[in-house]
Amino acid sequence: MNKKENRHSYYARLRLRLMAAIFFVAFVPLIVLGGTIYYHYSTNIVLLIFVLSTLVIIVSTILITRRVIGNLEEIGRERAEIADHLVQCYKLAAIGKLASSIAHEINNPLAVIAEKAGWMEDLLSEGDIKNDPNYSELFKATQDIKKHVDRGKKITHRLLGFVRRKEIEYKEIDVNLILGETVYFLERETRFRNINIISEYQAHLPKIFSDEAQLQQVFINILNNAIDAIDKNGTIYISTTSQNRGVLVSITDTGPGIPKEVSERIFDPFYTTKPVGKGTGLGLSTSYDIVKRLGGRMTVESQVGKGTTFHIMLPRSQPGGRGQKTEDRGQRSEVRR
Amino acid sequence: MEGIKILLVDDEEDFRTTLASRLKKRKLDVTDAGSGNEAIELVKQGSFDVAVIDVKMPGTDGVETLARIKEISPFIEVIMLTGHASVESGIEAMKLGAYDYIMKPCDIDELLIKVGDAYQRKIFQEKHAATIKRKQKT
Ligand SMILES: Nc1ncnc2c1ncn2[C@@H]1O[C@H](COP(=O)(O)OP(=O)(O)OP(=O)(O)O)[C@@H](O)[C@H]1O
Ligand SMILES: [Mg+2]
Repeated sequence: MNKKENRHSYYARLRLRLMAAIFFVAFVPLIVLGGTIYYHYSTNIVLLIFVLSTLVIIVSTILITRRVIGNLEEIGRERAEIADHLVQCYKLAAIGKLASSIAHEINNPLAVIAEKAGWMEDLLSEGDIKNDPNYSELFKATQDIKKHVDRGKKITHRLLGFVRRKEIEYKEIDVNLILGETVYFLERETRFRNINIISEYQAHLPKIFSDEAQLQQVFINILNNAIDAIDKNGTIYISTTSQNRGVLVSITDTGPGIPKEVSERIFDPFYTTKPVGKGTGLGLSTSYDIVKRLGGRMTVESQVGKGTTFHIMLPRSQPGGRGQKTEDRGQRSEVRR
Repeated sequence: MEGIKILLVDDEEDFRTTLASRLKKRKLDVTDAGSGNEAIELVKQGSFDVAVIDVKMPGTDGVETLARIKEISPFIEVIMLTGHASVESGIEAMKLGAYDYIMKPCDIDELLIKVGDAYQRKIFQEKHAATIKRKQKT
């Protein structure tokens, strides 16, 4: 945030300097010229022309500087955005490597624990032990072990998938349809919590080339976050719009919003504000990664007390450039790498 | 399910023996091997219906073991156990002829379902091959 303000005042200063410079450069010859002419023919008309040209110079100076600085500012903003994006990518790659080796080390013992608990459960189902007064306690213990192994497994598998997700399978897909399906998955949960889902899908949305399963993963992560954020009683708006280069999906919730300190970190792996065991902090980082791999962009916009919107921009064709042509010809519904 | 001959291959002993016990308890005929080479030897000697092989093993790894076993005995169906960053190897293994893969820690019911399906396919393939042979003779 601070960075942004700095950038802003930098451009304000630049603008003043540029304005002064242009004005100076234009005004000095005018004075010299005007002075010389006025010296020879001191009439009111010359004075009037002099004043008018001064005005013209002032106005055009202001207009030119605004134009130039505006362009500069935009270029600067774009560059900063790209830099942010790059930093995020590096972070993800570095952490991804570390995470996969840790996840592997944890996954194996986890598998042994799960088998042992399963074996105990098997043995407990045999005749005599069932009459033992401790039977139910023992049985419950095996179930608890399994439950917690599952918890660990969720994390290790997410981590493993995080680094080497399976190959992207491109095909022609209808984003509206995928969103519809995803919402359907979550309907029971939302109904239970009295969360209203309002879908504003653009009709005749152009199809895009992308990976259906992975997009679904992204939508589920974001919708789950929205549900968690709202907790009970609220609304989630889902919209799709066709844009020049692809499809924009926006998912807005009426939750508490995200404070600035938090929003800077939400795409970081493992960053979570949820209680231990509830959130892994991998939902958004994984989603960010997926969208990036699919050639799109994901951004967030939030206002504390009002709610949060996630924008997901998806390109029409796959990053390599294929797809566009096939679509234009309207043939071949599937393209795979 | 009963009597399906299974070969279980994993270098992690505690995992392998416990899973073997659990499968035996469910009336499957299980033989276990602690390495790829041991498994290959076993396949040379006996006949198995389904092999369950860990992808990540020191020495001859799971994917290689799969290939060697398939060479020796083409009808064995193979299910790969993955857990390492090997979702991809799982898919790779399927391209090399594995029937399916399952992620560790694995759910025993899921494994049983996959073993059952793999066995069905094995029976089908064998029958199919026999029919073709018969047709070729006549
Ligand atoms: N719609 C939202 N409203 C408010 N806060 C959000 C929203 N979406 C994400 N966040 C914040 O971003 C954090 C990171 O989200 P992320 O999905 O990466 O992890 P998580 O939801 O905590 O865990 P997991 O997704 O693994 O269950 C969340 O803990 C939450 O603080
Ligand atoms: Mg989440």
